[in-house]
Amino acid sequence: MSAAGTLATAPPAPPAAPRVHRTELLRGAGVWVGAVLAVSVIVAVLARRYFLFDTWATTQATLRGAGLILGGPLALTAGCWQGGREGRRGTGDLLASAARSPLRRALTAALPSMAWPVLGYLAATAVCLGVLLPYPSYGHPAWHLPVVDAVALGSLGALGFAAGRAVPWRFSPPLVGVAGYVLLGVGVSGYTGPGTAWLSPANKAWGGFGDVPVWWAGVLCVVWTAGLAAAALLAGHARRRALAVLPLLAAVAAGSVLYGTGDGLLRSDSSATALVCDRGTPAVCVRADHAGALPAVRAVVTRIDSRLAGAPGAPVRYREGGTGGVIPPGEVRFELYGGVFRGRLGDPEMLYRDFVFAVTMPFGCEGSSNPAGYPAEYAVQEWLDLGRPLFADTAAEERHAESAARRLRALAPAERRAWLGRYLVAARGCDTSGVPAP
Amino acid sequence: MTPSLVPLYLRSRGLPGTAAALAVLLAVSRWGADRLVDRPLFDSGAQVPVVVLVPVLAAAVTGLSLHSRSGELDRSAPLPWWRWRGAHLLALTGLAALWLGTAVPGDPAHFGAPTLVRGVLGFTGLAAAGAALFGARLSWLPPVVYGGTAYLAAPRTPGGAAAVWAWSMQPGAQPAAWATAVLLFAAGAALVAVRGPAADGVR
Amino acid sequence: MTTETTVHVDGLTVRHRRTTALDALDLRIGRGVHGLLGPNGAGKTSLIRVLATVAPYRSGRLELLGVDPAVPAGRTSVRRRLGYLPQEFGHYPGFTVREFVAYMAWLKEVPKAAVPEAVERAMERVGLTGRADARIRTLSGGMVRRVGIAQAIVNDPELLLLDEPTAGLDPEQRVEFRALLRELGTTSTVLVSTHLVEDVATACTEVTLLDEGRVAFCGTSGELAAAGDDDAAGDSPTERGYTAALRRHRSARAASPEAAV
Repeated sequence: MSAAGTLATAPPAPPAAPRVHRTELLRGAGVWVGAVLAVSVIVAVLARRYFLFDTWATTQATLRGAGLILGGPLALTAGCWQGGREGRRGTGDLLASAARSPLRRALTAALPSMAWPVLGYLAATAVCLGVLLPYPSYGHPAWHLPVVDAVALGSLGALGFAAGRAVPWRFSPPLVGVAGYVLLGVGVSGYTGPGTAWLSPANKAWGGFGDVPVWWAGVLCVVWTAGLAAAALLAGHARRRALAVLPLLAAVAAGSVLYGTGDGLLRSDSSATALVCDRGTPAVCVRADHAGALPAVRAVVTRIDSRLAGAPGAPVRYREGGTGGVIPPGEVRFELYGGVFRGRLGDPEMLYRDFVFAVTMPFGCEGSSNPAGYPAEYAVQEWLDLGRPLFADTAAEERHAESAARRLRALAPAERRAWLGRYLVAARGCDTSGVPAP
Repeated sequence: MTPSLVPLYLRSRGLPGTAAALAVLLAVSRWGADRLVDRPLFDSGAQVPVVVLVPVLAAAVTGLSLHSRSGELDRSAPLPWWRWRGAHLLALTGLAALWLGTAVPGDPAHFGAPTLVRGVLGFTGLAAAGAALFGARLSWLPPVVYGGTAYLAAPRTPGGAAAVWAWSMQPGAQPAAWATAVLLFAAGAALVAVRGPAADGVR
Repeated sequence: MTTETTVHVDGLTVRHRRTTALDALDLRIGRGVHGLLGPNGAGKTSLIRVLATVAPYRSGRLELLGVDPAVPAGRTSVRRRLGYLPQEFGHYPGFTVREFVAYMAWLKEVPKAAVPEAVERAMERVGLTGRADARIRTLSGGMVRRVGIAQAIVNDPELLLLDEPTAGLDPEQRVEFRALLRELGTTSTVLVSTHLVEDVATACTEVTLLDEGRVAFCGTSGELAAAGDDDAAGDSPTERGYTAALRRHRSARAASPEAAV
């Protein structure tokens, strides 16, 4: 590109001037932010693909969880860095003398902060959904969810930018990022109530066990996040700052509906929660969206059932879901917390432990445990191969429990079955004190 | 090394402020860990976020402390800087490891004080490398990005290749995870001690 | 003064905290190249920042290019016709020269259709066409200064404010720059703050000498040179004129603080 020669001759048509938006998009850290976001989301999602549930709802929940928990703080940090640019570069005077309105200037400078997280996230979404396309066996992708998440990420970038403009301090970007990590994390931690969790765009409830959010939950989330971002930018840079009140009101309205309704924004997907059972004994039933995992669950059931060896009081039915309701005797209820992937259980050990606990300490018996029953409880759990560490109040009791376990193992099968039967029946009644350790 | 140089060096890097930041981090993480355990239905396993992520913040603080307002001048000085920077990094890492390791006991068999110490080592190494590559002002970038990703992406089963690439999320005393963390620390500390933090006025 | 006045300053007072940067300053500037001289802290940068509509002022009246910049509409119209090179020229090192100048053209609301040509012409006038696609971070200090001048003139400003534009330029570049200044002065009002009196002697038609926020001397550069006497310090007539004018102003102020000049 030697322009020296063109000076002497008649000037040709000048090259097209670079467009400012293109310049802002390409000449900064933005490209890297988008790339880092895309790569880390792809790694985070695909590294966990063996734990993903077999449904589109949970696949997408994992994707948006990773996108917002990783991408959100990144967008905030990068936005804050970009917002502090004028302070770092000392361009304040030059820009202040320009005719272009402060809002237009700020929006142009904020463009990479908003656009690159969105582009990075959408790229990651395309790659992840493309790779995972053949896997989910139930449901269909909710195409509006990536849009909701992208708006949230762009808004976080804009909020970071506004923060960086307001406080152009060297430590602002990491602090804003950490604050974002904590605040967004509140939505997935479950430490706070469901209302607060819905205020975080990273809320886990967006794809749970057979529940789907109503469609307008997405609209609320968009208004909530974009409204806050618009209010921050207008308050900082508009000629008439009072205009910021309008998006702020919209955001607060949407936020209070999210907060107030909480988990009421979910409706249960009845076709997903319908039960599918196989014909074996004991009966095993899973929800329709986990139908592919039925043989895997059956294998775990067979493992515990063979240890129980048809003892009276052994469960006759294992059923997924409904752990909160009244459970008929002889039924074990469970959730596939470990996940399902292509018919495999993410964590069969975890399901087995859940079964053992359900049999020896049924739901609803918490708080009625009998300390005197510890050796018996330890013995039966040890027989069922729980692998729980021996831990009692006194060393004498620990020795007692250990010898009880040894004796249970040494019993003749018929005697053991009889003892197990007595224990299981007592456990159903939440009182095992009448069953002395073997 | 005349003794009077040490306090001057400490002030030039804002090390009193850094120590204060570490102390605040210590108090906050201790409070956070206690609060997480206090909640019903959560046992010491609930401290995992604290145990795994607090070292990231400690490393970020250490990385930022490498910032010098007179980088260009420093480079032109004949002082054996690598000793100063090495001592600086070792002292802060030791301080962070000691404080955090004693403050948050956690569950030593899975995620506890040893995890914190391992995290401080590995993440400080990443921050030191970040300072050497991107400048002290952006040194927190590698530990934060890696830490955040590993936290979400790490498999739940210990051992295997994950003991190396997701070393920060390995429960218990996985030798491979420890080796990776120590190696990261050694490499990062050596890099920044020899090369010094990159100039960060450009961006 | 043959041309109409484009900068009217009446009783302009600027304060920074407790120090007075400009003290009831009156100034009239027309088309041509106008030099702004004075010792450090005399108020040169404060004056230029007020004229560039970026700094507030305590009291006084201002009229730039026929409009009052205190009114928002007037301020925007002035800013469109203004070129400004701050003393500390902040820029984005990742931008190329062409991108940065185009960015500034956008900020100054140069009509879209005119931008490509305006950008090329500005770069050509400062001799940067050959480096148009180089990132600014790869340029030397003098070249960055030229980028600053290019962005200041990209909108063909009617009022051009340059705060120490020659700092960092080598002698050859300075000679070329003075020629550019003279050329710009034929069509617009150029106010150049400088420490280098030879810039003033060769490029400026008029000179204002500031001291402690007041005008110490105002006249043509020839008059400034003539103001010097043999016992004034300096190696050139203009330098001697500078020190003599300053000395005379200070002694006059000391004699009657109210009636300086």
